[in-house]
Amino acid sequence: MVRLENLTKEYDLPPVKGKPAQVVAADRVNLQIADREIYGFVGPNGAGKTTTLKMICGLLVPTSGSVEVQGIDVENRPEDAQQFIGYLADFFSLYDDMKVWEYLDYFARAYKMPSAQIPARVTEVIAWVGLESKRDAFIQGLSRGMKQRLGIARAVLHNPPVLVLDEPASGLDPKARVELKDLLKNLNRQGKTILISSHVLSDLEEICTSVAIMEKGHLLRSGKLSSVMEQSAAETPAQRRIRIRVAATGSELMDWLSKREGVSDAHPSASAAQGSSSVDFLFAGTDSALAVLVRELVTAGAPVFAVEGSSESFEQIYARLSGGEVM
Amino acid sequence: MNLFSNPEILRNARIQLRPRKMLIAAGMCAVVEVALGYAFFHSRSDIDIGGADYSGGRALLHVILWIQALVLVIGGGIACIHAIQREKDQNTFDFQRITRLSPLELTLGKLFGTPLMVFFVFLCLIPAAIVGAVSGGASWTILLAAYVLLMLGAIVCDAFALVISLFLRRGAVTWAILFFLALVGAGSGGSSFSPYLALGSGSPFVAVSLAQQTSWSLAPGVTHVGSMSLPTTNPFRDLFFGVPVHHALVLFVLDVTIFAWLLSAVARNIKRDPTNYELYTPAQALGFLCYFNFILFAFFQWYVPGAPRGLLGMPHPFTALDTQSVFLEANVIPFFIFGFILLRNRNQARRLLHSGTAGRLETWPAPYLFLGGLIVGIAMILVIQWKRDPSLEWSVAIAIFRVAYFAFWLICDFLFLQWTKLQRAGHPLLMGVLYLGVYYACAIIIVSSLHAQHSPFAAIFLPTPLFGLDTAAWSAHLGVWIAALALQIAAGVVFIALQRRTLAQLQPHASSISMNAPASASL
Repeated sequence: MVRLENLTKEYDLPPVKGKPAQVVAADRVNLQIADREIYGFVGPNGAGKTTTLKMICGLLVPTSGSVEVQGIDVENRPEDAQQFIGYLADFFSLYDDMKVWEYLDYFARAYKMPSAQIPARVTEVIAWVGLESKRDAFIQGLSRGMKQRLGIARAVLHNPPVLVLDEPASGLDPKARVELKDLLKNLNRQGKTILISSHVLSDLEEICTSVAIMEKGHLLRSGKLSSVMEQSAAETPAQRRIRIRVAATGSELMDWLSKREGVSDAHPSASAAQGSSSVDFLFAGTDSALAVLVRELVTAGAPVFAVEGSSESFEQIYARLSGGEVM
Repeated sequence: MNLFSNPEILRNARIQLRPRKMLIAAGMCAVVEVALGYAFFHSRSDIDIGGADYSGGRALLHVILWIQALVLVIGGGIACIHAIQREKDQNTFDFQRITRLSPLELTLGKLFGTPLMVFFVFLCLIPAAIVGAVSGGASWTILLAAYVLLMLGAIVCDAFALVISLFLRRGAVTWAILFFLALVGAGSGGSSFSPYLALGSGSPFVAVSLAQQTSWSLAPGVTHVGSMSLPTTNPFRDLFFGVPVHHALVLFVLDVTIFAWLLSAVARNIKRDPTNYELYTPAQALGFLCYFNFILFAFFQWYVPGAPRGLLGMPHPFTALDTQSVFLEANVIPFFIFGFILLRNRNQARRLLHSGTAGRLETWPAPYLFLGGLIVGIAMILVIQWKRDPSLEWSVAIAIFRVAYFAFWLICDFLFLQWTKLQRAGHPLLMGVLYLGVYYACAIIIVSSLHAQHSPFAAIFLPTPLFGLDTAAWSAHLGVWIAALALQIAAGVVFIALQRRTLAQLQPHASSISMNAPASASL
């Protein structure tokens, strides 16, 4: 369990054009992250994600408030809490002049693992991240993706129950990203609680069980992914997203819909098959009103073959909630 | 944890002591040793180094010791300046901070791990030193003591470099190295700390001179000028409250204690959030101040009844009031270090304000400076009272006034610096120090041009007249001296008011409570 209570961090920024600037990177953030969750932190650059994650790890001292990891106050007993945490920073480097196994061996000793267990654990973790062939290679010769995997190997080396991964997918190619997602799912299945921040919302939506949407140090939404999306949908009860498919091509359908009462944000759907077209739009009205709209459309001669209600994606919810402003 | 199983030392050993690197280093050292050996044993039989004649063996030992000292002190120091700063630059330091290494383990790992190649080169030069010592008939106990002092002195320098590295900002490494080299250069003169102290040099290079000694005797040396024999001071004879002690022993104790202070400073901060660095706690900083003054009092050239007085047996130049002036002047830098340690930055002030345990934050650091002034001042007066020459001028009232003025002058300056440090700017403290420096420079120029350096009126602007205060000046201008003290206090009150206004800007935001309420409720 990770618990954040009224966590606040205030910073000073260097003066811009002579004007001093102050930032509240985290503003009385309250969170409870249950065991075995994959908890995603979402927000634009400067939203306070990295600051919050660093405070969870005990690397930054909060201005006020507290963090508990596995029931231990991180500020008062950082070393006791840190044994339960594996951490990967957003921008990091490794010791280029060490070999892969030497790097992991160093951290295993630094985490005070029993000496007898270290060689086997290093071998196990190297195999787990798929770097067996690079075991004796110098780190400077590894690719970006391999270094990222080595970073994750270091984070999980001492088998911590909580993993804090700050933008672990940044700079990775699509294949490495898929591998990373598989790694994280695998870790979660092993019982790890994972706190992850990322800009790639579709990736987060795929793997996270819960999310926290942050902006300017504030939590805009937090909780189970499904409940965040349900809550978001409940906040806009008058509108729902509808997709109509017709067995014809052309833009007449969109033009026709745009002129109807209660219809807004009409745009062609990308998923239309050859010889057909489809339009997504927001509809403000009851089911009866929608039925009337469809009947009128059919009467007007449109070859309608499907009408679907679709929910907002996580990306759409995020875009709606967040202005995307940077502090 | 055993030092040899320290993961940080092991990591550095794996990086620095790879066989190829070791072979190259050992090969280069061997070439240097053979070349020096050939030069000293085959070119000439007697060699003049530093005005003294040596056999080839002793000369070789002397040169090898110098090389070893330079390698250890400068090489090790530069390596340690990079130790933490480079990790921060490369974003690898957080990964070390989050491990289970204790702060002390990480500090010792960096201190002894970073200069491993330097230690290896030092060891590679040992064979030539042994050859030199054996052929030159050096005293083994003295040589051993010299090596112990050399190693210890180098470790102290390395620990100091590590402190610099911890607090270093990005892009300032070159300046830090130059600063370090300048300090090492200034301290390697071989003379004593101060003409007022019966204490030899604190430089690690003293070990090289020690190795040239033939005995542990503390008797004065003799120089022959024609048919005359003149006594000379023994550079290894220190006086601890008037009792002769060998400088090697004193230096050993000093090095160990200074090392402990430096080590505790790094270990206290190395795993902390850098915005929350604090060299020492206020109580520890006060302890450091007391430690410095103990050294000052213990090794001062005190008056000894019946003995030849003063430096080189000349009449003692100090009255008891002069002695206090020397102590106060010697305390200016330690008190400034003490004050700088106490200063808080905006983050620390914010945390105190948020926690609601700030107390009277706007008066910081006045209480501790006052306490420091009180403790040091009382100790100073008591020790002077005990060791002074009773036949010379002394006034307890003047002594107390000087201590009070000294304390309030410092308090006033540091209330100003604390106020500037709480300003929102790129380098607020640096600006504060700059303003203070400009103020004092201007004040000194004006007072000097008016030939009023010793006038009590000058004490309104500067502390310097205080150091020349005697009973005549005191009784002639008592009111002005008191007014000068009162003005220092008044200036301090002004800075307290300014600081209070700045602190008000750092109070927790009331607005942030309402802004985050929905998010908290969503849980």
